[in-house]
Amino acid sequence: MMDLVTQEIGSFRKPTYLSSKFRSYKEDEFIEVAKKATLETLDLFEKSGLMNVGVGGEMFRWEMYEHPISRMEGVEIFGPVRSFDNRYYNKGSVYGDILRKKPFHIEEVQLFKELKKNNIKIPVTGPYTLMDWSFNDHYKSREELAMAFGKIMNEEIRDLKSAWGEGTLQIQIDEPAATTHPEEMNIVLDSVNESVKGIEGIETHLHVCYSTDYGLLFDIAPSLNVSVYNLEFANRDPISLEGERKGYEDVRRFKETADTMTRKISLGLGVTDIHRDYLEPIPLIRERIEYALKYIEPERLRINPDCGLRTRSREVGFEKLRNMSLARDEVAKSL
Amino acid sequence: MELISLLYGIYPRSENLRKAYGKWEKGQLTSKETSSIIEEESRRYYDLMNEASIDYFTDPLFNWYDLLRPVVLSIDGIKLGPLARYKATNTFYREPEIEKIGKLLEMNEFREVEENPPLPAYHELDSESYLYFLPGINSLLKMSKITGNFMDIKERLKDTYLEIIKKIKMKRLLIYEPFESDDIGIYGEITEAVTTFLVLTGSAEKLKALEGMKFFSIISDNPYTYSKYCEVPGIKIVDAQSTRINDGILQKVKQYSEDFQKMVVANTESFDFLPRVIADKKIFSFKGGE
Repeated sequence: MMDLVTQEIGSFRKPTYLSSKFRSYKEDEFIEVAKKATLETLDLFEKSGLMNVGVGGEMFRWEMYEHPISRMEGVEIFGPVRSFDNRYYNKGSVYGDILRKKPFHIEEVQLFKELKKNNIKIPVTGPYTLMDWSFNDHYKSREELAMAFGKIMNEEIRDLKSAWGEGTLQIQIDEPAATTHPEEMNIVLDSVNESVKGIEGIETHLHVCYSTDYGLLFDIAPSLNVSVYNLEFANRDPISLEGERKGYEDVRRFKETADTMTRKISLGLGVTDIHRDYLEPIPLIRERIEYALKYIEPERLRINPDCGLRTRSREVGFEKLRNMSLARDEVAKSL
Repeated sequence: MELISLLYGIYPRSENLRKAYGKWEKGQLTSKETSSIIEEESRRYYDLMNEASIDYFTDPLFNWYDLLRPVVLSIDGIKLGPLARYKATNTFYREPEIEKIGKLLEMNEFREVEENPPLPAYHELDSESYLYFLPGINSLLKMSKITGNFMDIKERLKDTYLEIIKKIKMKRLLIYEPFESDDIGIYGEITEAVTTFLVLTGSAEKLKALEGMKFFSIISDNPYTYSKYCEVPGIKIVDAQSTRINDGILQKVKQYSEDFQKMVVANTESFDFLPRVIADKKIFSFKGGE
């Protein structure tokens, strides 16, 4: 693996022609428009210098929860539920045994195969988060529901790998809810492991944002079948130069965990805050990378935004990615 | 046993209201126009409560962007901090940053405020069923970042609540403590000023502090704990975290029928955690209906 690979985390702001009519396109027409948006976003990613392009900004998906949930049996969406202020998401109610009606992301893999791109990483929503964000009106326990989602994600990842064919496929399991119930880390562990159980030829990433305690995650890392942990750091770090890089103190804890393991794990280092337009200058990003390099070998360190950039405009998103790539190149030269 | 139904907290907004807020946030709807829509929607909610025969209900709090916001925005010395997770849910609120409790601003007349739809905070109904709502003092402090003197702030907050009660001329008030509370004694003066319903989470350890206080009802997970400190004990039982309608309420409360002549039956959390269509059905289940 190359040193300091830069990677996208997942979502990127959709062009208006796609977002404004996302739910009203007919299926065939939608695929064409989503492809067009993906190609434009890929072009933008490549111009920014990004090495791993994810799935071109998740142009086929409206949102990480609703996309898979609406493709399952046994779940019904009765309407939106508030997340904050006047922001809502469609929360599903699990009323029966859950089944996958059709694959969730196969068209994205097929598109990338057609394009002969192999520097991709496919984000999928994790079973624990699917469970935590749903009403459970059927399964006996949260654990049982999480494991049922784990089985569904296993089917999905198996299909994605099968469609991809030869060569390692990078899969990123998104689990923003992973550390929100500290007493349930065993459920996170078992359901994520269930999602990848028995699948050969994949490199599994785990992306966890909105966490106030990554230590919970590091505690289960030795038993978790995950190779790369893509985590957020920039949004908790001061923007002053030559600071103590307080937001990155968990890198040391990650290293301590990694040192206890015989299996090698890597870290995806969030270096740009996705919650604000502030454009982190190259020297600041460079400092953040250099700080992490005190603990992690360059081939085990990947560089990414804290999370998907969908909340920023495409222009700001591009600038953030470009600064990230330029900072990475400067550090790589000095290695 | 007589069952008394109670619905408290933020009620889910209709699609009409969500769209109106979307337009208001983009500047396509004025604050005055938005305020009229909030008023209309509140009236519809009251009709719905009447239809479902809910005995007591709080204001729907349709323009409260979270459980704390209009209150903390009406007190000098409190600023809004970053988004914070509400308990272990996928719902967030703006964390108040409290340096001191300053002057109380007008909160029950039309007023534009930053980062929240326009006030008034309440849309009163002239009915004995109507309850004003205030977030519990203990929880408000737990949900905030306190930079000033904690005890001073707590005492001043209680005084401010008394001022709000007096200014608005509240007759009936519901106080909701979504977090475990360690000082229920702080409500002594409030219970003397207004008929008070208190919704608690967890179990308070210092029950002695409740001696001599006059709550109308204390609603909790276990009605026995507080029954001697109020006129009518209450239980949180209608599940706001499940979309299943028939919760078997009657069956569940039957066990208390030998011990209590009257009992308040309430929701476990704000119905804002439910889709509106489910909330509109669930209100008929409080006394074992649909």
